Amino acid sequence: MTPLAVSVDRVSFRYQKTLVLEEVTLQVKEGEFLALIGPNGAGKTTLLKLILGLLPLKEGTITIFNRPVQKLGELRSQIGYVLQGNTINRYFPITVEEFILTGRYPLIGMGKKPRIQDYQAVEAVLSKVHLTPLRSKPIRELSGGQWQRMLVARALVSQPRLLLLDEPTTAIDPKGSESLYELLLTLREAKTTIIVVSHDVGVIAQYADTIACLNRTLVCHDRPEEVISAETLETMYGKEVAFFHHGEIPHIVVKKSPHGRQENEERE
Amino acid sequence: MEFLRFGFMQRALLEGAMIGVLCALLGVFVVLRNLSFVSAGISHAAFGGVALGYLLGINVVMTAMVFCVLVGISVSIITQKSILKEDTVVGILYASTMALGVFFMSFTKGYSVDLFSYLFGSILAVTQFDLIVTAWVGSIATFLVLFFFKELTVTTLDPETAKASGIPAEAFHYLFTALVALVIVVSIRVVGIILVSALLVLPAATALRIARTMKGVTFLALTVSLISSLGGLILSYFLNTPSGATIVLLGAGIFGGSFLFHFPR
Repeated sequence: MTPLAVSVDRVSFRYQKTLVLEEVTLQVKEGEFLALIGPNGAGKTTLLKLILGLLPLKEGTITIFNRPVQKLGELRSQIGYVLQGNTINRYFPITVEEFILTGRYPLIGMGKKPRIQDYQAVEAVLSKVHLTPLRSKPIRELSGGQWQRMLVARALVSQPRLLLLDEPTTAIDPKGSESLYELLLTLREAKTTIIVVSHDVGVIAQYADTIACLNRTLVCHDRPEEVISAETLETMYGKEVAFFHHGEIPHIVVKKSPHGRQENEERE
Repeated sequence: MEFLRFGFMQRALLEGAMIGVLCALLGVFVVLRNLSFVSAGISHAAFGGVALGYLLGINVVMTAMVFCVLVGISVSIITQKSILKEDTVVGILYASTMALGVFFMSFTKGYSVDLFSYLFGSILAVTQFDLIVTAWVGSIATFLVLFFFKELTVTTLDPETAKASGIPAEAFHYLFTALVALVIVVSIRVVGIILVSALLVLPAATALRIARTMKGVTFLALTVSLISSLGGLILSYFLNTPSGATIVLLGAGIFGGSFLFHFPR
């Protein structure tokens, strides 16, 4: 039996008095590529932050590689992540390769200088995300897509066993998005466990091993072909959905409520 | 170079060089962490400490240190534990500690001349004791900033990610705030309570306009800061003006002058 990378057991979470996650139980096997989907405010980012230990876990348990999330210790250096809407100062005086090197800091240790292997790891990851020509540029000069690739590179530079990405294809064009997912597939082949939060259900379904649908509670967790059904998605979004197929890629559209315009006018 | 023969001038220049280095080193992180207003709040809190020292007849540097560190740490704690924004907390604390200072002063007699030197800085005011305190504080602050340069950089650049990777971002924030408070206190003799935060901000802001890497920014901030503090002290001797104001105006002049040249953003 494949060991578990992440185990979320009956986790609930509240912001003030608002219940964001309710009794969520989810297991991700080592080497699994999981896509986490759901409408806005469904608790996807909250769940990711709980797994990362960025939010205090009060109800339920989360273990990463069989260790409680509160006691990860050095295991934290084996987790890579790209957070959504990051608060990085774009005008920070740092070059692309220096920025990526910061992803190695937990491995280097406090008060210590980077070693040759740290620079070699940066070199390798720069090439993987096709940023080698931009290595000496200040981060302020990157385009949206290049910026996103740089964030992914920082997450990869510590050669993580678990990779968490919150909407990593935001600001990337379709070609860049495809290239990023292809890169994730090569990582999965190297047994890296991957959890990706995405709104792009049709695209992510082509790459992920399993899809978990979240809308405060866990609506489903299954293989993509089982999840991508009108019934499941309607339960998750709480609205009727329509499918359009382009080749094998399904595109999902949440249908407008017949009373939508009237409701909007009343609200205004 | 006749002025170098005077003991007070030698002490002032030595103190100026030390605080020039310290303010530049910490100032880069102050500006990048958006702590410019916090540093102004901390420096104003020193007034309460100075006044308390006068009232109790004890060393004012020590009482000012306690006030500044307490206010710096309190700003961080209150901001994290409440819904109030940092500028609101700073506004409350610095006005309260200034009021406390005025309150203490009302019970003290014969303070006005010396108080003016604390508010605006004086080259005559630097004592041997001040030099020793600055050297100690400076050595500790420089060692900690250089030793944890990597960690300070990453917690400034992206605190959330740093925290997720196990780097104690909050602990570094408290440590850094305490260091800023200590450096502000030792800088007060030369630059003054009212203007000391400008010496933290101006060289770093000038350097950030020009340089594109952390090393470049730090080096340039050091250069601008030393020119401002030493140049300002020498000018204040010849012009017979308050040292703090002269240092800050020279720094502001260099910052303003940087706009005459085009630097790519």
